Amino acid sequence: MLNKSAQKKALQMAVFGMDSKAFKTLEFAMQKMGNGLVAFVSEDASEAAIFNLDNPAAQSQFDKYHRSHPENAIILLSVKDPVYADCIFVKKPFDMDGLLAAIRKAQKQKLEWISRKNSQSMSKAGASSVRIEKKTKSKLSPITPVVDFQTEKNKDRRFCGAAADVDLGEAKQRQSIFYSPAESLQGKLQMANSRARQKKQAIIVAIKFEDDIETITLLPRINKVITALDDKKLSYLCTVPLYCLEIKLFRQNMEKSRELERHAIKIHGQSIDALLWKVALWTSRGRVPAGVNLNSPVYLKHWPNFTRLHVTPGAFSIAALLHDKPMSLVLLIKLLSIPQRYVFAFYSGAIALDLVELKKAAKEETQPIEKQQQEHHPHRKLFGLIMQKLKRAG
Amino acid sequence: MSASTEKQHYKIIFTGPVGSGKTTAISALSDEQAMTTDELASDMTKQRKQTTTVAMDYGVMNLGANERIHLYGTPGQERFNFMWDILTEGGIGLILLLDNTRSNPFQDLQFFLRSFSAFIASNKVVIGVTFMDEQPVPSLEDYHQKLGAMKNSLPIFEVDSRQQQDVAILVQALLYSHDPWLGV
Repeated sequence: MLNKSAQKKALQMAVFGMDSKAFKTLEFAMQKMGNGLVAFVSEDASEAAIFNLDNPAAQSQFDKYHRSHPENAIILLSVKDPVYADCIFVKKPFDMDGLLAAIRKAQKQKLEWISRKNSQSMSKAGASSVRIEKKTKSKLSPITPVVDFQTEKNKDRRFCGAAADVDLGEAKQRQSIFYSPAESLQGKLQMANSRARQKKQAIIVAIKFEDDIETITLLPRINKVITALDDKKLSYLCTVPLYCLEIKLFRQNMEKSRELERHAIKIHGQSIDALLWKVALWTSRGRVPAGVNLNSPVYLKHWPNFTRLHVTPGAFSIAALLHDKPMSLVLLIKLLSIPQRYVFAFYSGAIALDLVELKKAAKEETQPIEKQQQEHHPHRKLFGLIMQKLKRAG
Repeated sequence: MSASTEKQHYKIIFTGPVGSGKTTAISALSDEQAMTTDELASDMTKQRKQTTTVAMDYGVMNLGANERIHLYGTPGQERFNFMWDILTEGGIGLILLLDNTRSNPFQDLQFFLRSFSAFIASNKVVIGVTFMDEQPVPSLEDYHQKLGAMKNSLPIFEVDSRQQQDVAILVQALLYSHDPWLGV
């Protein structure tokens, strides 16, 4: 049982991804209509958090918060569809009733968590009562981006998202693993690349967002890209809905294309594959394109060029398995025992690079999932030692 | 020496045409200074590099008390291919490096896959294409198509053999081709 003070206490809420004006508005609205339901505090003192996911910095802040406070309820506000099954989602535009309902849900989650924690403690210690630790209130901390682009862990989160596994057999949860590349910059870039390849001519993709115009020049003949966009900005643009961007394609003639190719070689421009791979990862964030059948066997036409792409967790195993024989994503997840988002991120990247081949029904998995198992090489121990050595060196 | 303390020796073989980066790749991975038996090139090879490997390159990765992996590089010239069978004995895999600036890298691809076909039949091979920054064509896609025409499909990567990370990825791909469950 929870004591009354725990039940009545305002939910200690941290807020991320809002500028001071938006925050003041929220604070004012809550004072007027929140009826003491919520108090805004810094991250350290928080029991829950609200993220405005459409803010460029919010994604990385969310990743960090989710990792640091796995027990806390999180409310996500976004114009996009929900991504994280374990969060409370409020789609923009929203009204106060929608937001209050989400906060009540977060409050309920907190109480349930406390209740679970109490019963665990009680059964562990045999205690008759447990005091709920009170957190001290503090002022709202400034909202600053905290992303560390260097650490591998953060990189993996940036490329694969942070979504927890979902029950793939449950229709509602299953919905959260899909996204629509066509409704993002990814779709436009893939279309531009496809056109450029057909004509073997350069295409300049001009992207206007707010007051900025950025360009990405695709050079299909030499598989190179010229762009001044850095990863931070590009990854942000991948999260912006297509209707917020103005994108135009400009095809270059042969002469201009060759001139651009010479320039790209001179400046060691990145490859189109590397660009499409990371754009797919940043857009998918551990999801798969809508329409993918998770139970159909798929085959990898060839390995991705891992020396020039971001290698996601489990990527070598996934590539080796899918290149060896067709296998469904469901089976792959089960056999590898890795988070679904790693398999989905890889698969989204592979689709963007046109590496995936669907297999016909005749070649579908012949053995039931539970009968399929790992087959180890006799030199596995030696291989493991080599891998450790390479990781240490890297 | 008792069986328990006896060192286990395994090999990874690096092959490819003259100047494809075998010596550099082995040096990138070796714990000890890689040995090479380069001598001044005196024939056609001289057009591509000043010295060439006439016997073999050798490096080693120490994996712990009892195990080490030997890295052997084959001489690039065809006239030394009598050594290849000896070198591959006991090998756990082959890394084929191809120089994209050569006049016909596809010919090199075919030549080396044919030459090592017996080894490849019972083993794994991965391909690294070097100097793609200088000469991006043929592309990796072109290589995959060529392999497809040869009824083959192998892991191929763009490689700068001076970069340890690139060479490490070749080795990892080789190991995962043998055992996809390595990290599991």
